[in-house]
Amino acid sequence: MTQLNFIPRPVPLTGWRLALLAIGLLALVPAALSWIARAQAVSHLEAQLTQTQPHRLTRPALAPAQQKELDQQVKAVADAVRQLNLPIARLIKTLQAPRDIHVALLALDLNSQPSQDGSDNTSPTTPAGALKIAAEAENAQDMINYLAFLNQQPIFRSVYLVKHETSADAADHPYHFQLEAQWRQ
Amino acid sequence: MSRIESIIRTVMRMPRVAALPGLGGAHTLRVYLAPQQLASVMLHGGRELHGSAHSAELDNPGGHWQGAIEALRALILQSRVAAADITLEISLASRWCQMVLAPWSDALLSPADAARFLQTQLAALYGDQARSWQIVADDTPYGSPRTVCGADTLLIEALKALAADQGCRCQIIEPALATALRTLPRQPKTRAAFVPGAADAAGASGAPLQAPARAAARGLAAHALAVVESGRITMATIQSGHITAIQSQPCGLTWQLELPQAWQRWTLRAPELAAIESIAVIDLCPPRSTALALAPPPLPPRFHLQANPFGAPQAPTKTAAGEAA
Repeated sequence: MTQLNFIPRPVPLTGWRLALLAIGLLALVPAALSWIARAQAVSHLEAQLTQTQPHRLTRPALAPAQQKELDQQVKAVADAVRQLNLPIARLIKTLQAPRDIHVALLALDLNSQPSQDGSDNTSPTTPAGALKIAAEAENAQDMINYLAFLNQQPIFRSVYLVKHETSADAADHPYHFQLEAQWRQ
Repeated sequence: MSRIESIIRTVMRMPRVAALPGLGGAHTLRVYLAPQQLASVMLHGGRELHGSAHSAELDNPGGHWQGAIEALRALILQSRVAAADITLEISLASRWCQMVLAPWSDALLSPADAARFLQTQLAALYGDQARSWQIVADDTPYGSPRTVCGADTLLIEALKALAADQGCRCQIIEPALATALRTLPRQPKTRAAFVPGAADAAGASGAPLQAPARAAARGLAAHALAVVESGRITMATIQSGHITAIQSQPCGLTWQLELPQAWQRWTLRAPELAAIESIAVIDLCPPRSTALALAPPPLPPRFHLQANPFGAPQAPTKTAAGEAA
């Protein structure tokens, strides 16, 4: 039917449109019933699952002072464990210079923390750390040879020279130098 | 006294728009607005209320729509039905809304392109003033021409504003031809006889006349409608409820003589129209004064006068008509 109405009107929901809507709704009824049945089954199973799961033990919250004390204890225990886990024997054995390199160890510092830069890709469970070495060599060549020797050891990830100087007091002017080595197992 | 005041006084002299006693609820006020005429009928439940049809001639020589709108305002104000319960159905005379049959174009597939295309079709026929009109088009199937109607945007907005001011619900604003088509009794779904050569003749007669030819060639029944307004006859062919061709021309007071001649001339230009055996005629002219009216000449048998969708008002007396004028 020709309609030339200057006032737009919505399409009336009559005739074949109403019939089509009714058919569509009827077609959706089985799907809706199936969905309701499945939703009820899921909720029933979830209820059963909730009943079979063990109840979690709730730990009472500690006071702030007690919590701080507990954290300190945990940190102390972790430090002790780390000290106990240090491979001291292996490190000292590795630091021993060969006979052709005339170097004397003066000091070792095992308490250095491992480096926190991005190059440290060791896992938290892998023992690792830093080692500061103070030593004395007869000449610069021995110092360099010792540095190269340590770099070749598998336990060290990197070894670098921190500083070096010659001793003016001694007669043969030995080299005093410090190395820092990153180690890991 | 200004023209507007004269028009309002004329409307106020009309009998009050009635409502059946005890029937509350929504009423529909169907109004026909023309430059020199205001006709109305009150409907309830789709049925005309007895004695609710009225028609008034408006003293509006210039034919501007402002006077008709003020007359409509006065009509609503003097109605016995509460304005909030009135639903307005406004039909506009062909003087204020121009129609054209636009051929099919792929531009009609997109709403934005369709608006531009239809506006261009109206502007091609009615000039650049049509570019400011508000347009509305029929929603015909793919490939079929579309009936386009354009009206002054200010007129449409004024009618909407009037309804809003009075608290009425304005449901329809349409050309009188659309009202006539909408209220026409349903045609029986018969299959017309095949018209030999109809499609060929249509192809030679021009684009607006191709659709009835195709309809006749398909063997589907087509019928025609003629709406007679004051000074104008508008004829249209109808196929499956859609307008397929339009022809409009001026006429005088003796339209009963001019309508068959106009149809005959249209048939000569489009021979396929000869297959149409029944033409429904709707007379929207104001009733003449009984003292002045002469017996109208009878219409040929193929023309069937249908009921006026705005009711059958009583003919005004000579005095009232004289005062209104």
